[in-house]
Amino acid sequence: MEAKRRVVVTGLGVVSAVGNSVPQFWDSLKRGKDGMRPITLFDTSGLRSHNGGEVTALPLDDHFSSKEKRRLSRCDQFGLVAAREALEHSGLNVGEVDRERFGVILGAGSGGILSVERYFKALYGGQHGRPSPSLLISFSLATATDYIAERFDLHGPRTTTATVCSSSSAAIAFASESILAGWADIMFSGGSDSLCEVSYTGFNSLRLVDPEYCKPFDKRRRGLSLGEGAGIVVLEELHHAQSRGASILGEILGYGICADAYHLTAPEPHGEGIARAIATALRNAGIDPSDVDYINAHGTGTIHNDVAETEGIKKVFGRRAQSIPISSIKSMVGHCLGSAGAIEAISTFLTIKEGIIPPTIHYEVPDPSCDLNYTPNEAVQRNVDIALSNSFAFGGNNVCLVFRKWKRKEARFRNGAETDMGKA
Amino acid sequence: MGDRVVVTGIGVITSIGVGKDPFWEGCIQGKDGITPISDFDVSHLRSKLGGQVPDINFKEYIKPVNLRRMDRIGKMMVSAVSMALDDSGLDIEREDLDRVGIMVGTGLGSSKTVDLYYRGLLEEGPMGATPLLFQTSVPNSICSHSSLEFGIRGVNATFSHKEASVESAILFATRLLKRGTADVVFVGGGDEISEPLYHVYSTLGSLSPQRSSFPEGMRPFDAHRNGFVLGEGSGVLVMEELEHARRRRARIYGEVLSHGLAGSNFGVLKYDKEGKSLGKAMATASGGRRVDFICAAANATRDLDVAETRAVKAAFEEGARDISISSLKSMIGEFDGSGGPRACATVLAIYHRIIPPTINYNAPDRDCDLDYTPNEAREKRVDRALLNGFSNGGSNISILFGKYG
Repeated sequence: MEAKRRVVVTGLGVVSAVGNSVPQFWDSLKRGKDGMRPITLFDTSGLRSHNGGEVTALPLDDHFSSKEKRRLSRCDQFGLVAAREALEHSGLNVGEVDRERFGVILGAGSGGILSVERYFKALYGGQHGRPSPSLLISFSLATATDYIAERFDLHGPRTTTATVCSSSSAAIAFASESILAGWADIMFSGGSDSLCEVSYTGFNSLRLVDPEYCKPFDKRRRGLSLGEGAGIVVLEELHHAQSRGASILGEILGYGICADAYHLTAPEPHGEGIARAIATALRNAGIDPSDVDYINAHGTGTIHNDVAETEGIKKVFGRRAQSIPISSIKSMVGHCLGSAGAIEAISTFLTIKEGIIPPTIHYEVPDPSCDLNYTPNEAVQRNVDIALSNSFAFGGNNVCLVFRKWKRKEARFRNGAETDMGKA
Repeated sequence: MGDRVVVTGIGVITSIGVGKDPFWEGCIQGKDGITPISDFDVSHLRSKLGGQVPDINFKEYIKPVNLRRMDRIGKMMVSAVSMALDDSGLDIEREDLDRVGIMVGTGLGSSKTVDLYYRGLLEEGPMGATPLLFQTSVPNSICSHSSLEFGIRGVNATFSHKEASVESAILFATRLLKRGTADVVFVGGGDEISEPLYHVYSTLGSLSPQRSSFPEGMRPFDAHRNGFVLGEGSGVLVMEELEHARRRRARIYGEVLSHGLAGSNFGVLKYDKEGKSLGKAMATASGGRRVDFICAAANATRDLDVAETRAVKAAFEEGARDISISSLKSMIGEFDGSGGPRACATVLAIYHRIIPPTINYNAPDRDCDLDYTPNEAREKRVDRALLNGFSNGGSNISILFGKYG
């Protein structure tokens, strides 16, 4: 019988408010660095909030020619920078692999809307002269995906997910599925997104933004802080990675995707849908709730999300929920929408690999309705074998990913043994 | 867990017909759904036409309490799901709704709502930001509305990859049904014409312009084609695991047999003109089996129609001339979520043994020399049919549907 296909991660790349490379990003997370700063990309006067996890200190001029910069949206540029890092990290030589079996599935949020906004602002605003049509090239949510495929001339499966706040987690789920199904051996996955006025003012108008800075799970929390950036991972079929002697960062063990079917924006308050996503993911991964060592929370810092997520976790883990460390890195990088899940997945892989849990910062006043262990303010050293990464979106779209530490010995032991992965 | 996936319900809204039967009637009559844009001012643009969906009484399909929260594309999507559910005979109240899913493909989803929201901002500043508009402006709102309307709690996903959006949804829905993640998945999608979207396509030079050597119009494979006409609509299939469908004695329209995938890299807004990757996608999907009908991706751009023609020849060689090809886009226009209605037509062609025509076909092009079923529908037994979703930038997905039994 043919050995079961398994999906491992062999490369990571990141652009974020707390670091534009994996080492920088990880160093910041461990130190609990706050990436929030006043927004400079557009005018925020008159709004409830003025801060966000804006990416600075990324010398885009070093990465792109002025001609490229005219065509590529900010979101496309972030994606390309992170993809390049992830590829380098993986040690893959694209010239030597079968590029027919190397694909790209990314998640999108606002995509190139920042550029499109600039075009229409000029057009509707009666500015003299015609705005440049090249601002419109990235109007589609799929351009970052296409540009990455084009840059490395990849011919494998390609698509883009568009559930915004959970997009890039869904993308990682579907990219893994593409490898499990045998459609590809290597996939770029993750997501890229940039701040824009539509999303910034939109979350403000829904009063989902904390006027100060986001304080997930804290009693004083009043909402999220928006961020931006890209998180790109290289997923690889296990034997493909092993046969080229790749260094394996961890395994994608399974995922769960479901819907609350409760409300267009608010989560189901008792965490019913969230619990179902986690339970489905554990079943798909073939593991028991008692195996889970850490949860990288969606933890947006909105009043409702943090309670619903806490409730959902308690539903699945019962009394054990108290002893599982949880953290929300959104307290440091902000809610990066289309790239949030991917940036958090990268943080989770680093946790598994390094045995360090990044903190939830700005946590001071405990909330009786959020009574779990949120790793307040200081990183914690702890061995993590199995971790979950949660992402939830408008419409009660819930995604939970299950990651596992890569252990060589166990891999040999388990090799060929039937896992539960194919049984969903 | 079974390894066969069948189609048991169809719901569709286009400019040539609202509902499965009127739509199919429009298809076989070769109805032209392209009309002058009436919703906004196009006098300053080079193009004036669109495949516009007429006014619909959405109350027939959607609960009033939910209706008022939806925008127009949301209503078009939920109505298509509602029609497909009705058509399938599925008693959704009796289903385990955790095992019923919805997977949607769309270009921008609620592009009219994004426009309304953004105009509010430009006119009034932050005070003009309307929360109700913002929450509907996200691309997955059309999927969320559908999940809310019917209490669908299983797998839930939205794909947006240009002209391969719905084909992406079909691909992953089939895989998840085969893996046993769900019993039933509503799969489809759509898009709407909005002023900014029309403006974007016009500015980027994708639309057939009024002032050129040839009149503005939608003429796939024709020598005088000069770009596409933007259309809109929605289409949904009820896809079901075979045993689940058999247990409830469902009518089976056809089966999802296999697929082919291939990326190409000729740049954003460009197609693989040589058709190599498109050919590979079709060859993989058909796996050497005879194909009777191809529901083409051809959208009346100079490049894609030639590329698809070359690809059919590469994939089927001598057999290419025996295949009936047609571009439904000739009737309904082009839009990213067109895979919704086109998937419906592909399955209906198998079920009714009729190939819908490519309309507006008058001047043969030397580079497009296959059988495009010009202007008249044709009766023909269809055992297997391909649905092609070939996007600019280069995601190429071909899905093989077959007769059940």
